[in-house]
Order: sequence, then C-alpha cells, then structure tokens
Amino acid sequence: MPDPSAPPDSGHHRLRPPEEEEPALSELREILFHEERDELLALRERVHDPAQRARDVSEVLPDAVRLRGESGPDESLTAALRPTVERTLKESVQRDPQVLAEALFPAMGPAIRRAITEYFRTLVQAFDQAMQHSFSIQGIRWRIEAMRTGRPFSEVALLHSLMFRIEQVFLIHRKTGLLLCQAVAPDAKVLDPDLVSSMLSALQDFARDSFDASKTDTLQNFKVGELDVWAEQGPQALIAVAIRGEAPQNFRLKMVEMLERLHFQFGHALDEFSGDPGRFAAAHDLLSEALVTQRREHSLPPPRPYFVRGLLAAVLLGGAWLIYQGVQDWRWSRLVDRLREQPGYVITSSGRESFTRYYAIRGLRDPQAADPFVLLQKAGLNPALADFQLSPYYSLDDAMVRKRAEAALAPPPGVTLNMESGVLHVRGEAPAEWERELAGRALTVAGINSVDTSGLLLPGQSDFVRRRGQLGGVRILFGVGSAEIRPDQRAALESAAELLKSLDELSQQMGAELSVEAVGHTDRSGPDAANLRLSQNRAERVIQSLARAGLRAEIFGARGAGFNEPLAGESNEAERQLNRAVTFRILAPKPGTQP
Amino acid sequence: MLIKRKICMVGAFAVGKTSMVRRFVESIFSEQYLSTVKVTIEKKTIRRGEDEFVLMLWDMAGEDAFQSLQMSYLAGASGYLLVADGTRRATLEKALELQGRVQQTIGSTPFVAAINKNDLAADWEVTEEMEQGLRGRGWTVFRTSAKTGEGVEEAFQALNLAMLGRKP
Repeated sequence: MPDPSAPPDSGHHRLRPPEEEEPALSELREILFHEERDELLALRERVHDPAQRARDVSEVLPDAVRLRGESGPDESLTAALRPTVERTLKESVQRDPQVLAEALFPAMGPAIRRAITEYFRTLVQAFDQAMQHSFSIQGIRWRIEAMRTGRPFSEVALLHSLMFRIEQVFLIHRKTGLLLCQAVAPDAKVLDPDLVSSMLSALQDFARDSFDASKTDTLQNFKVGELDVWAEQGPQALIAVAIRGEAPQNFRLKMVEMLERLHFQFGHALDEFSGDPGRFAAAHDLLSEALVTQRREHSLPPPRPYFVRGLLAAVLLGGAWLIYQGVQDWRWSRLVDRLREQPGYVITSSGRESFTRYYAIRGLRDPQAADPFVLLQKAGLNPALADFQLSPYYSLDDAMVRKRAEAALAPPPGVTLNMESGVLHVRGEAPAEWERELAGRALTVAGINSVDTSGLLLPGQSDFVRRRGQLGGVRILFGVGSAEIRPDQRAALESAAELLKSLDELSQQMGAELSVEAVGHTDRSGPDAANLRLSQNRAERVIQSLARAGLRAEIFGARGAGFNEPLAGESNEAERQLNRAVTFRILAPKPGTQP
Repeated sequence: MLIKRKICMVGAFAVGKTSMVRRFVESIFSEQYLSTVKVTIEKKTIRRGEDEFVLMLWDMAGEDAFQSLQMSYLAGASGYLLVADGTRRATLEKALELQGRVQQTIGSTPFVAAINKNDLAADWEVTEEMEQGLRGRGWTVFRTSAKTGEGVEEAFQALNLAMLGRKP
C-alpha cells in the first residue's frame, strides 16, 4: 500500500541500498526516513520471501474464496478450480482408489441401493402393466401409439390406464421445512401448504431419528386421509406431492427429475434462503407440470370380473350338473336292472327323455308283478320323474302264475299253492265245496295246465289220521283166561276213550259216520273155540266200558279173533301177555280215499 | 414482502407452550402428534409495516424426566421461544439448561424467554430477582399468560424483531 506521506518523486530509487548513495544524503535519509526505511526493508523481505508470502495468502485465502462466492453467481472461480480439483481427484484415484472409495462410500451405497430399488420397482410395474394390456385390443392400440410416438409401451400404458390425480405439489426448503413454492390442481381440496410442509419435514426428521436411518434415507410416502403424500428429497430441497388415487411407481422418477431440475435452477437461492419465498415463484411452472390427472374414462375398461366369475360359476355349475345327472342316470339304470330281474317285467327300452328330467321305462308288466313305484322309492328316486310306459301281459313265470292262481282261487287259510312247470300243486286242508270247484277254476288261470290235489285234505282229516295212528297203538291187556278189565288197564282204556271221542267228533265234522271195530285176542293156550269166545268177550267188555265212559255204543262193532291174529310171538310170558288184549280198528271213514 | 421463518417452542413439560400458541395460531394437526412425533406444527402470521411474516411454530414436546427434547427438530430454526412456568421454579432452571443445549446444537440463535402463567401471579415461584438475572444475561424476557393472552403477541413480535435481517 503506497504511503501518502512519501514524496512524489521517491519511486523505486528510494529503495536503493544506502551504500550506493552519497554519505551526506545517506545520513540525511537515515535521519528523515529511519523508521520507514526499516519498514520498507521488512516489507521487501516479506514480498521476496515465498514462505512468508504463502503464510500471508493462507490467512486470507478462505475469506477471499468466500467473498468471491458471495458476490453472486460467478463461474470463474469454479472454472479456475475445476482443472486442479479434477486432476487432484484423478491422481488420488490413481494413487490409491481406496481413499476416495471410503470417503464416498456412505454416499454411494444408499444412492446405488435406491437407484436399484427404484429401477426394479419400475420394471416390475411396467412388466405388470405390459402383461395386463399386451393381449387386449386396447393393448394393441397402445402398442401402435407407442411405436408411432416413439415412447416406451409401459409409458403409454401408464398414461392411459392409471387413475390418479396429483392435487398438490410442494417445494420445501430442506433445512427449515419452510414452503418455498406450491402448485395446486384446480378445484382440489387444499391442505394448508405451510403446515403440511413443516409437518412433512418434521416427520422426515422423526422417521430418521426413530428408525436410526442414515441422513440419505427418507420417509418416502405416507397417507393423510384419502391422500397419499409422496416425498422425494434432494440435498437442499424436497418435493412432496399429494396424490388422490393410485399413482404409478415411476411417477417417482418424474419427481426425482423435477427435483434435479429445481436444484439446478435454484441451487443458489436454496443455499441462501433466508425466509423469502419470492425467489422461488419461478418454480411454479415446473411444479405445475407434475399436476397430472388420469381420468377414469381414459382407462382400460377394468377386467370384467363379473363376466369371468360368471363364466367360472357357469362352468362349475355345469360340471356339478353333469356329475349330478351322471349319478342320477346310474341310479335309474340300476332301477331298470332291478326291474328286469323282477318276475312279471319285460323292459324293452329305457332312458332319459331328451332335454327333460324325465326318465322313461318302456315294456310289459304282469298285473301281479311288484309295484314299480315301490321299487322306485326304495331306490331313492323321485317318482314324479318316472315315466312308466308298461303294457299289461300274462307272465308264464311259475311265481307269476302262482300269484295269479292265488288271486283267482282265493285258497282258504292252510292251503298252499305251488307251481311247477304248468302244474298247480295244492296242499293243506280245504272245505269240500272249495275242493270241488278247484279243478274247474284252476284251469281257467293262464299258465296252469293241470292241478295236483293229492296233498289236499278235508278240514280235520289230518287230525283224524294222526289220532287214528295213536289209537292203533293202544292195547287193553287182560289176565289169563279172563275178560275182566284189570285196574291197571284203566289208563289205557281212558286214553282210548279220549282218542275215540275226538275221532267221533272229527268224523262228524267231515260229514261221515265213525265205525270202530274192537278186536279181541288171546294167547295160544287153550282150545280155539274157547279162545274165540274169550276174545269176543274181551272185545265186548271193552265196548261196554267205553260206552259207560260216554261213547256212543252204535259206532262199535266187536269181533273175537282168538289166536288167529296174534299181536306178538309166544316165546315168553311177556309176549303171551301182549297177545291177551283188545285192539281197535277204524272201519270208517277212510281219509285219503274219497268219502 | 412475505417472509417465512421456522420458530421452535422449547421448554419443560406442561409449561403451557401449546396453550400459549393455540389461540393465536392455525393448526390442522391433532395434538396426538406431540405425544408420538414429539412435535406439532402451528402457523402464526405477523404483520409489520408492509411486511408479512409467516412463522411456522414447531411446538416441541416438553422435556421432563421421561422424554427429552428431539434436538433434530431444531435444525433450520431462525429463532426460538423459550418457555417456562412462573409457578414452577424448576421449569426456569430447565429453560436455562435447554437454552444452553439449543445453542450448542444450532449455534447462537435469536430467542425470547416467556415466563408463562402470569394469570396465576400469586402462586409464582419465579421472583423479580431471577427475572432480572436473566435480563442481566442479555435475555429478552416476557411475562405471558396463555389464559388471558397477555404478553404472547408481544413475545412473538419481539422474537420476530430479533430475527430480522438474520438468515435462518
């Protein structure tokens, strides 16, 4: 700095070393400029000493750079520094890439991570949409549009298909959370932008603090009522958008691009922001670009879920119906099989009547055959759906003929009818008048060629035969040469009396008169004439006793057989005793033969 | 000219920070934010001559034994209102402590101290001497009442004035 007190002619000669000047002048100088001279010398030394100069510059350099920066947007310092900085970085990397890598790592990691995440998210969504629209007419139309306009198909699909509206866009100063500028969609319901901005910024801080995230991780979206708020953060500002509806993920890329442009355009203003948002008014146009609206009518008609669901339901119902019908048909055919096995049925055809639920069964049915509706109900089928077309006929099946005979002949209880190859076998007891009409009526029944009545008895006849047999075994025994009833024979006599009484009654039932012969016997000893007499006496005595017991005397006849009809041998007394006896013989009636 | 500023409301628990601003401000956020996010945002507009100042008030959850001040919310603040409760001396001590911590976090920043609950002057534990002591430190001190509104507007005006011409 020039000294104002220095003489105008001093110039650089003043600085000549004193030894070159005249001594008197030099002395005068010494007196006059002693102090200044020393100072000047010191200054000269300082100017010529590079180490000192470096020290001096180092003191003012930071302030100088700052001053230059503050004086306004001036690229000259940046331009001056750029080659050196670039060279330095280059050299640093060449020397040891690790140093720079380590320094950049905290910044690069999240940036790369986010870029990759974003890329994949976008890719997946683009793929989704492409899949959704590729195969529709709309999709083809969009594809043509994509080819025509040179835009990627996913972008065209996005523009057409998604329904959302960006209602508000905020540009927020990152450090203070203050709103710098906003753009609002027409007639959107607006949230107080200042409050939203500050709160958003507070939430960013909160999220970062609460989840211990790094400075670069940010809260990317949250919901306010029915609005989605998406935020994208840059170094100095953040953009937030309020979205109604479903915005596509790659809208976020638009936000990032916008944020980059804003930083580029307003970097300086952002840095210097001191509460005056006026400087950011110019950002409004850029923010307005983000106020995208996707209207419903431009969108792809949503996949018709009702149609698809309806189709699916129809297929399922159809399948179920077919299965049901299959099961039903099988059950009907089982019924038809069973009918075929039944006597009295001839099934000629069966099957579902076309386009109806009814099942037709055609053929012949004997009127005596089992009721088809009973079989139907047993099979669990709906009788209302059955259409029986069965003509009546006479079956020659033995079982059917027997049934027909039973219906026609009305056999009394105890009589059984059996058919065997055209012959009706009748067994059991039947009144005589029924038996009399039997043969004539039986032969009118279709299928009966002849009647076998050998097994047919009159009522009571079988009892009569049984008791007659019992009576045949009864013997009233006598002592030697005696016709007196021995006391030990009373039981035998009583049982004979009982049998004869019921035989008499059965005979009367059969309309016949009982005739019994009491036959007397003797052993061999004694003359024949005496034996005959004795045996006659014995028979008569028995008849007398029976008459006394209440039996009608007129049914009896007495006969003495002597030893002519021996009942046993004569080898010992026991055998001889058996021959001294009275036995009974029924003379009439004689069942088994016609009365 | 429109100027926007971020202001923080700092103080111990239950000194009346929120009540103090509620009747003067617009807010759309429920007070639940205070308990969860530990801050709620209110907006106060002040006019001064031709200029309009929009103060975004970051009403920070009060500090007590159970929760501490979320210091990260202070970033970018142009100034702060330091609130104490005149009826509780401890809150004034807390305010002193907080002021130190705030200054440490965001550097020397304009602030105004408000000793609240002036409507309960009879119950005050904070004495005139203590107030003088604060003024002696160069603090701007206001007695306020959230209930009557006394001193509140003045405190904000004073803070706004202190911030004038300073970068946030």
